Amino acid sequence: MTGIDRRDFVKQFGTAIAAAMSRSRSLYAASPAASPADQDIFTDRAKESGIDFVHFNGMSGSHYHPEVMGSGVALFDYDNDGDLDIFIVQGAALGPNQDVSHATFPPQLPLRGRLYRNDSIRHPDGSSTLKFVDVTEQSGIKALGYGMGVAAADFNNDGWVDLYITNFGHNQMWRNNGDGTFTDVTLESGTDVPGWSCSAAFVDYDRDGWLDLFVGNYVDFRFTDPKKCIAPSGAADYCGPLAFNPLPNRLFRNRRDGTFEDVTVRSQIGSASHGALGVVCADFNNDGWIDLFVANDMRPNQLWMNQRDGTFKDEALVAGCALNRDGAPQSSMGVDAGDLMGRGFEDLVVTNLNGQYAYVYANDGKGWFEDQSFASGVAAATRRSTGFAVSMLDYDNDGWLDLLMVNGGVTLIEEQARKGSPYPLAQSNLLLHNNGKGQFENVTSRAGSVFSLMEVGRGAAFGDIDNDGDIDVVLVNNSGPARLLVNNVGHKKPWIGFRMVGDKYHRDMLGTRVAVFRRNAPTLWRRVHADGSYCSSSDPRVLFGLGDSPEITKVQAHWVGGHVEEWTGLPLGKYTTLREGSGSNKS
Amino acid sequence: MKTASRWLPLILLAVTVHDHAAGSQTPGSQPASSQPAANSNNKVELGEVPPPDLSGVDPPVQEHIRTAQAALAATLAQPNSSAAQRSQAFGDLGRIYQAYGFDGAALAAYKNAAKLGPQTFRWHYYSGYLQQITGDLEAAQRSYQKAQALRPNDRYIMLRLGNLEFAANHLASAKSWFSKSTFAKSTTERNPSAAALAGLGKVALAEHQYANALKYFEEALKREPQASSIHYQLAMTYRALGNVPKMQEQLQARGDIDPTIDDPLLDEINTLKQGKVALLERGGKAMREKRFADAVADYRQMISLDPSDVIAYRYLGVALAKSGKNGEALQEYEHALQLDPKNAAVHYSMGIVSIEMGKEENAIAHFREAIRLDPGLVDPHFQLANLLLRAEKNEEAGREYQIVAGLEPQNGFARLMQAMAAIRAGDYARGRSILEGASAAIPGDPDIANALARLLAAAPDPSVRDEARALRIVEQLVQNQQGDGFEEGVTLAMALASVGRFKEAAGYQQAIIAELEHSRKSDLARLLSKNLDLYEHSKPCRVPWANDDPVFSPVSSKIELSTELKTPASSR
Repeated sequence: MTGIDRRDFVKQFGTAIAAAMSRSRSLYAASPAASPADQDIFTDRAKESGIDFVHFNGMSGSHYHPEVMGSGVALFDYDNDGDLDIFIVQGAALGPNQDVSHATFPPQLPLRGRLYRNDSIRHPDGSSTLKFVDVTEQSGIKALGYGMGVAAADFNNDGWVDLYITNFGHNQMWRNNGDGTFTDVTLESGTDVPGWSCSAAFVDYDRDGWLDLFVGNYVDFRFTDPKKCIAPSGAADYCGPLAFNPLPNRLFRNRRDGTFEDVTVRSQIGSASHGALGVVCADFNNDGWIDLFVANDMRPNQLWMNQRDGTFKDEALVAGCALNRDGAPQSSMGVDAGDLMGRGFEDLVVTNLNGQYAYVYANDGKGWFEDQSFASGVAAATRRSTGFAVSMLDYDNDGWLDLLMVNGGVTLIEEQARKGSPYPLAQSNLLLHNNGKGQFENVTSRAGSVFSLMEVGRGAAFGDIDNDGDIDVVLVNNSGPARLLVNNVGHKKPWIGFRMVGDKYHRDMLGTRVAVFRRNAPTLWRRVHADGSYCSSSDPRVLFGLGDSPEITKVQAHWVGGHVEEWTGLPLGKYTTLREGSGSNKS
Repeated sequence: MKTASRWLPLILLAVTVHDHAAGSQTPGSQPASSQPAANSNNKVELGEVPPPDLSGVDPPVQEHIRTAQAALAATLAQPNSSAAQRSQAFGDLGRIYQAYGFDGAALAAYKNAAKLGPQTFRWHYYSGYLQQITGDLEAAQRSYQKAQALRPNDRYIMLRLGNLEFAANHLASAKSWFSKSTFAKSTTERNPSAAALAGLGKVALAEHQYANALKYFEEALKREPQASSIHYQLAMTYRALGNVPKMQEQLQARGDIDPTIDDPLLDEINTLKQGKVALLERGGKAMREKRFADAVADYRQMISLDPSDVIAYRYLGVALAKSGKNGEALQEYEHALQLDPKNAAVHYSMGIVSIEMGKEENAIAHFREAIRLDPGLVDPHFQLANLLLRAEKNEEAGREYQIVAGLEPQNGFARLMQAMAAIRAGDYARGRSILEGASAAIPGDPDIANALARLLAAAPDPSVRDEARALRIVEQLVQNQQGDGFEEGVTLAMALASVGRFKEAAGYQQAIIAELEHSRKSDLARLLSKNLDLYEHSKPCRVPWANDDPVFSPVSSKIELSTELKTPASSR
């Protein structure tokens, strides 16, 4: 593939991109209500809003496994101005003695992870002018490694959200200084992890009020120990995960002084390595302690149940979420947890390779799962897609969590190769609508022209970027442009949103569960979380679409520390910050 | 040939068929009498068969494909060729494409073959198979149904249909196909295969008919005990029935071998393969079956196809080493290094062979080089540490074990050996410190606990000893029956003696010696009699490990270097 000009690559998608951008511009110029494009559920507004990021994967014809795996993105409010900023993880040159001049697709320079500040303007009529400004240089973030993923949270409880960047190579912890700049504290914090990390998550597993850190590690890929991975035709191909030894995941306990203790071994998290790609933290058995689900590529998934003594036990096999229903592992990559079935429990969705299918595991409330992939229709809808990022999101605010999956191949797609595509892994993304009866309808064809683009999708972060009361998406395409999918429909239904912060420390209390009780309608449960998806970090606020039943009787929070509080009379159509201790205690 | 290949896809949109042998059977076909044969002089609308992109493809494979393309072109160029001949030519090309993973092109070829030879079972069957594995279940169902109509009694097509319907969550239909397949071919006698029973079990489980599921899965396992994937289904059935112990039992037995579906048509595809991939697969199979001479031949042939293939040289080296030809193995590794001097894995392999040849100094040099090239590789550090400890280079060995423990924090053995290196160097305090750290990090490791207890009981340095704690640790180990009973017994005797309970210590020591003599391990028994003498004279042991204790001479295990064709993502 060497010698192919980037213009050839862009040409493959040029028409579709141009069409999408044209639609975006017309929507942007017109009033939202009047635009014909308004019928699209999502519209890509990346370029017009200033997101000019193009991912560089460093490929140079050698089929190095890392080049098809990145990257991720974070949605987080780094400057505490109330709107979501964006950090996008970038690749680098790959291989011994490689530099970017050998790359198949020349990169956009300078080559580094990029921070975009949200400077959008909200108009009195409710519409927004989205605007992002690249502030990477001012921020001091020098993410120059071969980036894979990112986790964002306030690890030192100073009220400013920090960043942990995972790499093929050494990871980095960037402490937010609170003045628009960040400092690399990787070594002093004790969170340096070499090797190949993908998804990471901040989680208060010991309920001490300080966020600990889980780092999911993938496989031991080495340039000095190349593997023989060839297609059946004898042509060179990317290796699968089984060609390499899996690397152990790491767990770091927060010492509450800006440093972490590596408790990988003591916690038992390091006792079994399966090649992690995705992670989500939630209380799966409703015992008040946060557990971890780890999505592993071609090896059994893991469900690390919190033993409440600093240790974890993998119960995925018993719980029925390690394997597919034939008892075989699949290529699990992205993951999310949430109350998909509307029963108040943390269900799971996991993306897999094409020819396989995405899992939907329904939780019985005690941490045992039933495979609902087939009965829900999700298996049939996903069988031909290689899914990476995934989210349970209520895109239309009808009160039921839907599914959005970001797709892209990992091995050459014959038809695209035959047509001369220099990077023949492209697929389109999927949007599945929850009908409230445990079944999902494929509504991709109505989702917008951006869903008809064929790209190599990887990470995605989900959150209300324009603060209008619905979930937007920013996604990263491997060796392609980042996209900002603005939701055009959700805010048309009643909604209520919360930021859940601690009593002593003004930070998002990740892991807290919030319930909205409604008159004559099911109670809605959402979890404060930034984890899940693939290599990405999402908006930690909780957003409730109320559908046709907006009459709220009370809002209840189940804080990570264990106690429960309630509020009444909270306003609809806006985000309210709920501080721990400000509600009435529920006995 | 090239010309023919180039125009091939362009002419296939409409072909007039002159079928001089309408209804004739192609090899392996079985026309059903109820189906009309291809008619003479029909105009059959054919689809384009896009030629795959052959860039980067193994040259013998390219040649194989071009030959098949040319054969089809030649058949089509003959004005009098029959529909059956054309169908066969398209199908043959499809099979070659399928063998080499060009599934899209293969499917297009099969579709034409099936249009020209609608009575030929295999073209529908292969189409269905390719559609199924790419997730196009509706198309697969249509193709399989056409195939099934042509061979109504073939069980494997019924099983494929059953699995397909199950994947589409059409449970009633899946059940029907699995049930039909339980009858023997052309008879009314029930003779179910494990695959059919497992299919019925899966349907029953999905329908929450747990008693039925249990019955089917158990029967399936009786028929094919090696089909270990069924244990998972059984476990999930027991879980649904609330029988947790049985569920655990089945999960323990779980494996990844599916019930056999005898599929002669797919087997045929595999026999068509030529080139590097075929050799790699063959070599890997030979290695697994310990036919090392055959593996050597396959890898040599791979090298003859591509003399720049570093990994082929490495695999050949492994196969030769396994054949006992260590010298020749080293030569092949040298070839690999000439091609790729920075290949740490090759240096590591050379180190292992050098150990086998008794050349430990050479092995040390290769491991050092592997580490220099890639300090993050765990195995060379570990093997080097073992060799250094054997050579009494204790401090250096300790450093290497420490690196291993740093790279693999859960590696208890590396931590233990790091402590042993310090102890052998006479630094008992450091040994204790390492063991204390290891014990805190890996609290459940019995070997570390035993070593710590022994050191606390018998270290010559009194500041290192903590006799009461030593006894508590080893008593706990014995009570839990973890670890090595012999080692723990020796430690228990030491700990008892250290707190002045000499009589009990001597009793334990005598019992262990008697057991060893009974097992004809008199050398070990003699070693222990020294301590027995001490205890009988009311003296504690002050040598936790004698200098000739086997723990100080770790044997470098021969690593099973993989020669398997590593699973590419495409075959996942």
